[in-house]
Amino acid sequence: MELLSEMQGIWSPGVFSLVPGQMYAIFAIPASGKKAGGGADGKIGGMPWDIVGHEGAVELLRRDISAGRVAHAYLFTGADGIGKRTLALQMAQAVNCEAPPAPGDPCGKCRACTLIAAEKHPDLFLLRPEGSGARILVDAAREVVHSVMLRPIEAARRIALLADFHRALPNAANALLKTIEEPPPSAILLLTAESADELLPTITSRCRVIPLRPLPESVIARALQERWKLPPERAEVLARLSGGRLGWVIHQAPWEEAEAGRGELFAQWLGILRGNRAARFATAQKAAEDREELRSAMQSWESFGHDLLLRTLSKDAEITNVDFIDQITELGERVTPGQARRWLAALRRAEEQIDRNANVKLALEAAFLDAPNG
Amino acid sequence: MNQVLYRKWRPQTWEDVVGQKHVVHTLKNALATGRIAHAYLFSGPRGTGKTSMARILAKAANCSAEDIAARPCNQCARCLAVNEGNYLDLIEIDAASNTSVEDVRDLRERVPFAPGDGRYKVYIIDEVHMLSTAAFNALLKTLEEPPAHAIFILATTEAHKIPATVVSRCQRHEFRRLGVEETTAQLMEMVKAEGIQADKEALEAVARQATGSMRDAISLLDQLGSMGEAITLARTLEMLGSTGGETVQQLVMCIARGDSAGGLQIIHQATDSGADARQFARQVVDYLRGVMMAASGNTDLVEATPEIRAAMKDLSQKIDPSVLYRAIRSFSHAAADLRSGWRPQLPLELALIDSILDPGSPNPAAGAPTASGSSGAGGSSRPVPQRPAPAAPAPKPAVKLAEKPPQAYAVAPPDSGHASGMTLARIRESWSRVIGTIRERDSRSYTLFARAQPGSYEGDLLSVYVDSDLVRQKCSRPETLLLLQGVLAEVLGSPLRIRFAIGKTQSIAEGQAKYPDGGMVDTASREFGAQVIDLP
Repeated sequence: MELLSEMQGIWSPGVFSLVPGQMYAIFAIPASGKKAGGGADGKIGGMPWDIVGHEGAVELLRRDISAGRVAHAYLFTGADGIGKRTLALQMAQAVNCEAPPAPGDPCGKCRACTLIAAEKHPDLFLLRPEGSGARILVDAAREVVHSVMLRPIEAARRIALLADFHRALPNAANALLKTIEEPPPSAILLLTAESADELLPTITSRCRVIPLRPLPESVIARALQERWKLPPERAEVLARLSGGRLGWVIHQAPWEEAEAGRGELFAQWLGILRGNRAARFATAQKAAEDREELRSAMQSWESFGHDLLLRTLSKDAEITNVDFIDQITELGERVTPGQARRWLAALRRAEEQIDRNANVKLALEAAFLDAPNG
Repeated sequence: MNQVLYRKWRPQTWEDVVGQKHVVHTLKNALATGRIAHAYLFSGPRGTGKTSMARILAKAANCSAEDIAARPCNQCARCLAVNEGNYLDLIEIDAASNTSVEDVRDLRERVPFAPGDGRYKVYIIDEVHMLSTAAFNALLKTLEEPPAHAIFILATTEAHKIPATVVSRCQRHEFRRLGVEETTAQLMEMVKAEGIQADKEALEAVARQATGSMRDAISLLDQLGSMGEAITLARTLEMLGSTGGETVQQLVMCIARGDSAGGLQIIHQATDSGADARQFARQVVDYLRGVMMAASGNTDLVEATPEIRAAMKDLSQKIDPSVLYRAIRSFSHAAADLRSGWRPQLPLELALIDSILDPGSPNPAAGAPTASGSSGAGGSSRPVPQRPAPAAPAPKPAVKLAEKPPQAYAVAPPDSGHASGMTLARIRESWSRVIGTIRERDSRSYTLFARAQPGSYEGDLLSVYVDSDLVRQKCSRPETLLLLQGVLAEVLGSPLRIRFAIGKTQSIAEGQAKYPDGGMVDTASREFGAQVIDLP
């Protein structure tokens, strides 16, 4: 193969855009507990992979590995904190484990397993946009291409883990198309993204898509009690709030602080509804100061807004924020569904605008003006 | 070395290529007559065979088989080398990672060298849409008149990004999406060869999901097959995250009934039992589209079983058309909503509520009949004296009003009670909400009403004061009047008759408050906590 000379990163942002509205294959892995087929699987007791839930996906990967039919590219999709990267790392371990206890299982103890778990294995290439809002640039993508082409240093397979690939700029994604389609036999590419629809359809179409579904609340609650030794009540509340994302819960630690923070967020949210414009604008100003915090604050506010909407529609709708159920129900009696809908739409719009680099304070102010008077 | 099926089954001969007869035919003829073009552009959706076709063409051009019709033979050394990806005279370039003008210059310098082994040197430039403008331009001259031994094959999914100057120098071939039947047939063949057990319906579902891309279809099949069990329709649907048709139908019934609580329950159950939210939204849109077709008498266009068609037809007579269109719009919006990561069912719920609630869209048609209907309740037997009702009659009395000083109305007690319990005070209280709603529905009318104030309320006739004659005339246009009437009826819960007059609201309000209601001082003190201080 003739090689072209040193690459030069010329790209023009904004010229290439994602193709919206394209449809492609989306898989759903059978939810835990209801495994497809006859259930002739002997391994129901001990979970061979060190991951909570996602049994369907694990089963599929184990089969691939033990049958020696590992695909060259996998795409793990699911919400932030759902376990995509954990699963991908486990997969890397299982593929490269030096002493697998059973075909397709990692031992977790050998050199390869420990190094991969520590993300320090020489044959593991990890690409992850640092910080919120960071993008994967074309230079990084070319580094991946280069790294994937190398022979494995010590393991059986060279593994490139491209985390949060939905944050790749279009030309970075394009630069990887050929590599993702036909990497050298020694390489496996593992991509993670929040949703397959956010990637170029040409990327998705080249990968085996493993969508991870939110875990059932009971599974998260049990894991929190058993592994993280949380008291049952707190585990239940956190499980409910998590939206099926265990990683999100873990990220919230220490939980006492997180709880206080939530209380404060709810108070702020109520304050927006109850306050006059001056108070609303003051809240907007305060919230706009810390963008990192704002993200989770917006999510919480949206979640409260969602619950409020559900309550305005039906008295016994199941809501997420069970710890504030009384206040939300009471609000729900005074607010019309239309108002609640508009308020939630305003919050979502603001979040989207902020994601697109709008003036944060302005976006928040505009959203807060649409709050119903509570 | 195990390969995924889509690579293993990459077509190696002309006959293997599925569904691109028109391209195969042209290329084979060109080979047979020795008229190979020097540059080709293959464009078309993903997974339709562009790269594969380019490689076959490269093989055929260099194949050493005697019989031209048998090329590529896949037996000679050259063909085998191409299949293994190490043929000297086939240069495959990933344009997406070599985008710059330097890369193209480098390529251009090498083109003049004669092929090392075969008759032609074939350059496949894949993902060519990613080349920079300068790179494209650097390629122009080479592409127009390359040496006789060079063949360029450009392949891309996005032909619209290729400059016209490049396109015009190439022989262009459009690859088309594969039909469900073609895809299914190919899948059947593969399933047989791979020894996988599969139902035909399941493969059809896979083919439908792949929307014309063979690679997508094969990837799906690969994943289904890797479970090591027979592929049935039920398992396929589960994996695709499809919901049963009944669930979709129930949800649509809820929309038709306006039952939001029931609809939310259905969505909750569906997503809990593993349905993909976006897929679900698409299914709902499909179903609603069927209902829409049935409503317009085009049931034949709907791909569905007779029972479902009958159900759609039945539903099309029950559902309010405006609800139907709104539902289609909001659910297609939900299907395209990318930001649903952490709570996938949220867009679905919002779409449902939007379909049923409709807070936003103007609905004057609905407001009008109730308004005139109730004013008719007072004198339904005599439609003629219904003088100040909507439309045309409004201007005349209003002109008279304008001539009269506003105090004539101030005399009337502001809380002149009425049978419906409506008072001027109540109208004033809700006025900002009325204006707010108008702003959402029709921003142009809002500018007219922005400064309007309810002036007086007598009988069931509300006089709205505006600034000038021009504004009054515009406000009195039937559509504007109807809009205001509709919104008033909605906000206050009972319909009113309206007329517009020129007047100053301050003079009315003077007796009650120091600062005019809704005026600048009033707003500032109410909303921003401003205080009025006296200057020394």
